[in-house]
Amino acid sequence: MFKSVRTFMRRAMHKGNTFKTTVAQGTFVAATAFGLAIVCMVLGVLITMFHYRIDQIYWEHNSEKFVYDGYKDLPEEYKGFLFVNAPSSFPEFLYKNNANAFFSYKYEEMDAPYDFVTVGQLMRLHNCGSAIVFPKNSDELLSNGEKLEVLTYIRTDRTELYDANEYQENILKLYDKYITAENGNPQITIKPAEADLTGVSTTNPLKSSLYGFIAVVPLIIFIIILYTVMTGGTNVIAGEKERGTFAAIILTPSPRAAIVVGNVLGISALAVIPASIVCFLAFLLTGKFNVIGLVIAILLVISFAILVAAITILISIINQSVVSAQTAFLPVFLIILGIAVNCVQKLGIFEEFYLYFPLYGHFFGIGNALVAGYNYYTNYIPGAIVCIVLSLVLACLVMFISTKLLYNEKFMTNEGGLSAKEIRKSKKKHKSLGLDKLVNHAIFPVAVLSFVQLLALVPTAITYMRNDIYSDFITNLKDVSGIMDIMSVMSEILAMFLSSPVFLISMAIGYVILIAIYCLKVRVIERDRKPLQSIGFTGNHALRDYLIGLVVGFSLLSAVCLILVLAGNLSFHGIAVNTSTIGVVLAGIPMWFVQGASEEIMFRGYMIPRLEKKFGKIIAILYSSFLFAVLHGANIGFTWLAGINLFIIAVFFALIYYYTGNIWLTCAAHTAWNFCQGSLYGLEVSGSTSGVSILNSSYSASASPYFTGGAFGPEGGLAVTIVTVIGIVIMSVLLYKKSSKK
Amino acid sequence: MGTIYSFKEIADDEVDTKSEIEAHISKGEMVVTFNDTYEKDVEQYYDKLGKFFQEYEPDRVIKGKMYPSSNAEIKIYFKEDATFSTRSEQLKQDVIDKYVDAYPDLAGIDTSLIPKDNIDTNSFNPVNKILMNRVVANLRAARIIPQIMVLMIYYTVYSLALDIFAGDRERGFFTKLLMSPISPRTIIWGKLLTIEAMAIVSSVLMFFMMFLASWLNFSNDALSLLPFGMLMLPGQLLKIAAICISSAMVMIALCVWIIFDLQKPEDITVNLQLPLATILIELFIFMIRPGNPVGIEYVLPIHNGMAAIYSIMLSTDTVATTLVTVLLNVLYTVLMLSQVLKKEEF
Amino acid sequence: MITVNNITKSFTKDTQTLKGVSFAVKEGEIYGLLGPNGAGKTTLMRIISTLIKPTSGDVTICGLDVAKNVLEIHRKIGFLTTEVKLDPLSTPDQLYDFFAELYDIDKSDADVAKEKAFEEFGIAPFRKKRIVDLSTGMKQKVSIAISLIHNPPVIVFDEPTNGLDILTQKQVTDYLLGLKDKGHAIILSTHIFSVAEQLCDRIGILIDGELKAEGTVDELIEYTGTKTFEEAFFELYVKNHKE
Repeated sequence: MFKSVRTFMRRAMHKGNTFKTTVAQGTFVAATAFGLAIVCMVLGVLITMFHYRIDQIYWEHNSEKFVYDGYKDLPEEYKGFLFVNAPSSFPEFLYKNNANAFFSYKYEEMDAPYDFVTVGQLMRLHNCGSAIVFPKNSDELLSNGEKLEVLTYIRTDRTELYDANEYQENILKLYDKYITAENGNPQITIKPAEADLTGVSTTNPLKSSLYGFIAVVPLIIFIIILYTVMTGGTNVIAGEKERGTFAAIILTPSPRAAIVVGNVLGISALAVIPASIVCFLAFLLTGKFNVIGLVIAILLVISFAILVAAITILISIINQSVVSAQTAFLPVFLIILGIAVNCVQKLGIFEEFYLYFPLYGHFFGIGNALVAGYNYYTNYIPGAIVCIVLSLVLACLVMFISTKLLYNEKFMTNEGGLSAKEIRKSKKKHKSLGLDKLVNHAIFPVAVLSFVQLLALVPTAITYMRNDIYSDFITNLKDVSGIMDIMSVMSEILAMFLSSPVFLISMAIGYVILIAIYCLKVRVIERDRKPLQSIGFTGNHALRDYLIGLVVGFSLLSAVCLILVLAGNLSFHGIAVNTSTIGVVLAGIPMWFVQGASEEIMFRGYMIPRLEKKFGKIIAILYSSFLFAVLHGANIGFTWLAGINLFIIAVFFALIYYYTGNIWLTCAAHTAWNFCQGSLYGLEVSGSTSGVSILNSSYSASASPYFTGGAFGPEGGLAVTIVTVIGIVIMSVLLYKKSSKK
Repeated sequence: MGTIYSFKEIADDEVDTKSEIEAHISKGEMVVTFNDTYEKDVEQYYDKLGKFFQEYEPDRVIKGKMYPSSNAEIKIYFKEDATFSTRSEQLKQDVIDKYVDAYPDLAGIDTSLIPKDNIDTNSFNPVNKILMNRVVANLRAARIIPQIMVLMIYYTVYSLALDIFAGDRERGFFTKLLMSPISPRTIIWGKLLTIEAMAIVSSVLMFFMMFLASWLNFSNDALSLLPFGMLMLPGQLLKIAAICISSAMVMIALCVWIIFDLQKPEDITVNLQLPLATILIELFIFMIRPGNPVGIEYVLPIHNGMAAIYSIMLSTDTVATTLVTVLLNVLYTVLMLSQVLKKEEF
Repeated sequence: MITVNNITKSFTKDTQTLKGVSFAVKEGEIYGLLGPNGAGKTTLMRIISTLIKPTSGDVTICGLDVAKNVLEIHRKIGFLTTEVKLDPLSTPDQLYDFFAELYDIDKSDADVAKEKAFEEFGIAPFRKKRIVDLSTGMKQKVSIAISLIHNPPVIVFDEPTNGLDILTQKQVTDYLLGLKDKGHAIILSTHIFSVAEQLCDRIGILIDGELKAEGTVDELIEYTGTKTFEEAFFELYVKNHKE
């Protein structure tokens, strides 16, 4: 057994040995670039160190110094301070404090304090990097003895302006005292208690010169081991499987355990040698000559290498080629990298138990051992020993698993046998409940819809960035005190967006993308050559069906409105649209077209045939309608009545789908319904209102929300229920006649 | 969003001696002590203040020692190093100072004779808050994000290149492609663009994940790598995207050049993995380097991507930064590929 | 259709793999290059199929110079080997479609041709299986089908029967004969006598980089004064091979 282990070890060391490889020209170039980069970075550090900081500006007042670091380094366009709506005493204050000598400033007037867009424009105009905005009627407030609510802003494009913020706050503090003095009160700083910051140096402090050893040396060792083990380990078994030479090894009478252990030891040996050299050098350089520490450090290095090598060999065994082994190794790589970064951050303050934990314990332990312990952890030995033992135990466990895997033919060779897909397919022959399909059908529309709507928000948000609508919105935000306020603010945002042509067009494009995603899914995953037909756009009379659908949708909704008008709940007051708002209505038209189509595809065209295949017609109709209702559940004003209405509307449309065999009619009906509701009659469409419509409508004071649907719109009201139920009855009769005709 | 602190109350006699305090300090805790007579001292101070303001006349000259002073003391003990200086300052600003200011209300002290503040700065200024968070978050994130992105892009690129170029060549499939009426240039560029697309997708995902990580960072410790509130302007995002795309191209070209220079698969694997080690080393150096990148750094392939994204995130970049990086990367790609295409046989 | 004119090839400065080879292949003819391993057959085949450039001399295929009109020549040549050079994770279906696109063949034409080829080679039953899951014989058939996707007038076949089982061998040789009858010019290299005798109209004996003799089987037997083709070859080898 041991001879075999030795053989494999030698082989692994030879195979993974990277010193004999040819170096390509490209590698040479990359290495040179790297070397130059290091030189430049070091140069950069030196330059920064020698750069004398003559760039501060400061104020001294009553022995308080306000420093603004880096002011002189700012480009000219950012050096000014802007003061907006300054009170009349402010210029005097600046003059008396000789502000001119320290910084340049300008004055401006503005109406809305939260209009940060205008503030930004003014700052850019006057070459200022920061602005202080006083309220418009500051003088009045001051004379009444009221507080001024002042806002500070900085320009977004330079991170150095962070200090400007503090400086502004200090200016304001000084001005505060100035006003106090003007009011006949003494200018004193009120200090009931001053918090005193006392740094405490701990016993056995680490000399700052040794700091590098506990940070840099373990890091170098981690990198060396990680890199060597990764390159060697993935090459050894996975590479041999790929080249077909592993079969010969499996056929020999050597025990599988020997193969695993030999390879692990071989690869770790490759890594341990350079790492130990680094350890030894560090040992010499610390000047402490802590021999026990060196021994412990090297034991830690060895145990770390063995653990990582074991994991790598396991990954190598599971995978069939070098590339897939390396890809599978990536998470391990990232985890160890993350631990290293985390350790570097935690250096002074890690809790004691970390010393006992593998990986963390290795990092801290190596540093500790080299400098013979520091701070609280003068006794590092127990922690290190536990860490070593634990990691070796873990490594043995991993190697045990690897050995067992080698008995499974799946992992021994590269070729032949059934592919994984075929194995899955044969398993599928058994009847499965299909619950996962139900879940998929529920999640996919939501995911795609959210994605697409998020996309559509991006252009809108960008166009609004320079718009002053935000200032009103923020001013309103200030007074938000409860859930109801938040809801109304949110509906304000929605209304704001829905009346923006940009948003409507982005939504339209978004819905097109949604349809494309569905087509892609059908084309790629279901391998259907004709995706559009597969999602419901079939049939010979597409245009005729579509036009009929438009008529149907229009008449249905108009019927609803008629009912509401007759019941005295709704009234129209004429045309609401004019030349300026017609753009919104027109932009909405393409949006309604694709939106209707998308919702029909999602819930009827795509979902119903697939559900029907697995679960039958009834469940297909019921489940898709259920999902349709639930999807609108997050909309504003959703009530249980609205849910029921949406459900039966969906059933109604599903019946139409079955009758026509395609979704042309339902698409058109859906589009026409939404368009008439929102853009024509000015009612809420499932909770969202655009505020701009062709006709002006309003609910009468006596309208009952059960009838009208309240904030959700007619879809939440009984009027729609009546119309839809009639529709379902008609469709059921038609379907019955059609099926009995056959 | 502020930092989350957890507090533990300890008895007076537990922090009498220096060593007891040290015990807490070494565990990474900060110790805040109030003097024994804190409450009385503060009350007395406000009393004196009130009287002082009552009797004050503007023309009177007051000598220094007549200003009322307080005997109340608060001490904050912390471990003397860079990390804790920041943390203790943050504690003082976020918690202690605010407590001291709010104390009169909490303890019911009468402050009617003391003139109130005239100015309330930024009592509700979400824009300012977002911008301040953004600056801190961007500054800190700039030390980790560019390198992680470059690392991920390179990992993607070299794994794919290993299979798409080297693998195909080994299996002989490349010969078959060369026999088709498609020129070798088209074949290589076609494969390059495939890898490019995958690299872009992975870097977009990576960046989005980091962005989420920043905004989900509720504890926002002083040492967080991705503090709360990282926000990039569209312009910055576009520049970063351009740099990522060009960096990916350079990396792919480099891998292709190396692959076609060598014959043995083991050689190819080792050579391709070397830049991984260099990027790793640079990652850690970037975490601690001060200041902005030196001009020459934008010239070096692979490194210039990191340096450029770094300066963009710090908002200290110029027009030249992005332009030089992208153009040079494209130039390097073309140069390296022309070296490959010059070869007689592949 | 193929004219090889005084081709030499040196890979390094002191050795010459090919020392001046000239011959020609006509339409509807199978020409065989017979020689021991290391004679330079593969190098010559690769030069003819444009994969390597000759050090001197030229090759003309269908009137086009191999060194100048490389891409056009690719439309006129089918290069076959017995090493399967296919993407392991693709299926025959996908590979056929892929190469049809590379050769600029119309989708409808390609589909028709694909059905025909799959029928002819018996690939149809495993057209959706990945290459890595197929046996060597099946892989070889797929490889051949794909290499001839553009119906090239000239076919270059390096070692046609290496590593194939008897049944597949017969299928391949029959197929080549069929192609000859249709007027394709075929040049193949082999070191197996039976293949050379069976398939080739004319045979060129390549020893140490030089074409030592050329002609039909009977002509070669006559030329060497031996009784069988095998003896003829050994005669030529002993006479010409320098250690």
